[in-house]
Amino acid sequence: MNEFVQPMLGGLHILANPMIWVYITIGTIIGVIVGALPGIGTTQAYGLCLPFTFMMTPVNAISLLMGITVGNQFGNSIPAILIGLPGSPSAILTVIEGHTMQKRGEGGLALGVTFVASLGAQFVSILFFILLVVPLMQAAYIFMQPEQFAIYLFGLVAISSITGKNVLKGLASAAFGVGIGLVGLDPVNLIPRFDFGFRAVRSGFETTAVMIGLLAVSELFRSARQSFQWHPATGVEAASTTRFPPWRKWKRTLPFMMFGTVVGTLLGAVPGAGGTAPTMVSYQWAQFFSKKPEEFGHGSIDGIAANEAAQNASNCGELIPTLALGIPSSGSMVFLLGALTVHGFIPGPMLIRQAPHLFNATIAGLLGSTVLLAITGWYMCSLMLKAVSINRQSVIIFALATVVIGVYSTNLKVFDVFVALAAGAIGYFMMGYGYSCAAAALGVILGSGLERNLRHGLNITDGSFLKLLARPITGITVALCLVVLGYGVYRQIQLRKKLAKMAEKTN
Amino acid sequence: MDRRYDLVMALLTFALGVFVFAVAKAIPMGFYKDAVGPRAFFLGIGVVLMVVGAVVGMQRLRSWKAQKGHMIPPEGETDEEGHPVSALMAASIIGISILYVILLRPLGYLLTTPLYITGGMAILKERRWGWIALFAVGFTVLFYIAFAQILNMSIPVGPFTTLFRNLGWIIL
Repeated sequence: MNEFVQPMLGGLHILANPMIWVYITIGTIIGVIVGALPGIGTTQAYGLCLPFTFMMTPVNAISLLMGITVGNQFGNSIPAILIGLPGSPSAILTVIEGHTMQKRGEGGLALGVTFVASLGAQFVSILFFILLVVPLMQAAYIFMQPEQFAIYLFGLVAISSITGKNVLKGLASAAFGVGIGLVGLDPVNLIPRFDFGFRAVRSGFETTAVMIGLLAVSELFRSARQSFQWHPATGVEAASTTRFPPWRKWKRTLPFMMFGTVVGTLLGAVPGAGGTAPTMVSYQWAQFFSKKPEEFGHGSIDGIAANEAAQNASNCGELIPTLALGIPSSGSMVFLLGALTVHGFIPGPMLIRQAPHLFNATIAGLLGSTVLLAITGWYMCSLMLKAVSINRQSVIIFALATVVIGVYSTNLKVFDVFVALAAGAIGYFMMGYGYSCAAAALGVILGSGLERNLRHGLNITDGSFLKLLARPITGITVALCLVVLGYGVYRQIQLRKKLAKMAEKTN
Repeated sequence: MDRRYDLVMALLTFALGVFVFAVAKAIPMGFYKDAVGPRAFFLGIGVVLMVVGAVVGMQRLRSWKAQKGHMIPPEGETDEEGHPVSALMAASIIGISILYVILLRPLGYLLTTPLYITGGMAILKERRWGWIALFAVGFTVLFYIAFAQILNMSIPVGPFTTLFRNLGWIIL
């Protein structure tokens, strides 16, 4: 218990210094802005701020960097809901559910749920982070490639929830996405696959470009088919939708937020799992337990709650192996670890004993920026909601122009922008004929991780599938995948029957 | 949804499956032989695409005589009611977007972006030219400052490259 109370009090003590709030505020603002821009992630934000942090004390520098981390996660979801533009792969499901609601004129409700889920999960996961940082250090030794393969498989099972009206077409879309994700170097022998001699695709397509193309650009091209002015579908004045949604409208999402928080923190702590797999797992379970599973894929607040909570909680989860073991689980965590070690942070099991003030500063930064966003976050959301409610034509062109600069900035390659536009054009036709763009996008993101971890995992088990499945966590997770898939298919059939009956009644 | 186009999509899916399968068969196995190999996933994908394409195509053909018209219940996204639809407008936006990206390097971000925004807004039938001009210039300048000057990203500026280099705005 002392391991929890001491760092917490230490963090709160740092927050008592008014100057620390200046750094946290700057970090949070940068994080929110950067998170809202597609293609620009925390890595670039760290890169931007790192030179300035050398002039600061280590405590101030770490607080600023943590502010960026929290702000980025929050900022990610705002454009995902408002203009269907995911800031990162883990925001895909927010686009699917949140942007659909925005198009129905329920953007305020979607943003409200996102606001509560993001900050609630962030806050709870900080507590988890402090409490579990020592015990979860061991997770890195337990979760090796076979276990990670099982987690990816679980994520892929989530596709069964978003196949659209025709399951077969959904399956083809997912296969197409997985194929796109696998283009490039083979993970074992480094043999180029499907590059046809083009150097630009030798290392594969840029995932962010394909994902933005399939999800956002396709939708924007689709919207460009019609000539209209922005009218909320409900007929309610745009201004009223910027009010914070009443409690009765979103109270049912609380269990999904809590579940997403736990899943996000625990799976986020697995090195290599990243932020996407926890969101998929959490979303999948939310659909099972939701009282309105038919809303999933068509604007479900339960789906948004589960996804957002898992996404934000995985942020603290990712910090666990990064800080506790010195094993960064993503590109941005590599940068963060580098930045922190420059300031004297010693990653590893002794971090709490050797540099307690820096560990406390991490907690202060995370807590401070969460509190700051709790106070100002809704105001930011409502301002942006008002901004996109002005004129739909402008929003379409704004989003397309933002995609171009955002995707270009990812690697400074014009080719990536062409990839995004091509994926958008393909997605345009897919959407029209019932081939799920969301399933394809998920396939792109999870496919390569699935293959890499399976093949590396098999190397560990001497090429034996039996030995791979005999590993307790892998075996249990794969079995759970089959159960979930079977139950998911059963639920989908039931759901379709129910919807068909409802349609018959209305006719 | 027009069943003829849906049939074409199914045939394209099948053809893509055949293509993926054929190309995957030609992937070299590599020096290190593992239990799965570099081809397995692609072969599986090829099979899935072929099966789905064939089944969906067969379903359409089998029910062809059961319905009179070519329109069948939609399985995909439908257009919003009450707003005129023009596929040409979408095609124009796709075309102008591709042109924008092609010209991005030679003409630079600062020239192509306002032109793209103006062209795009005109295609989408926005006629408030004052707003278009303000939006086009404002967006371009703000985003250029954010990405190129603050985030230090190398955004192409085309004919302004030498001028900006002399002014010290770009280093390389």
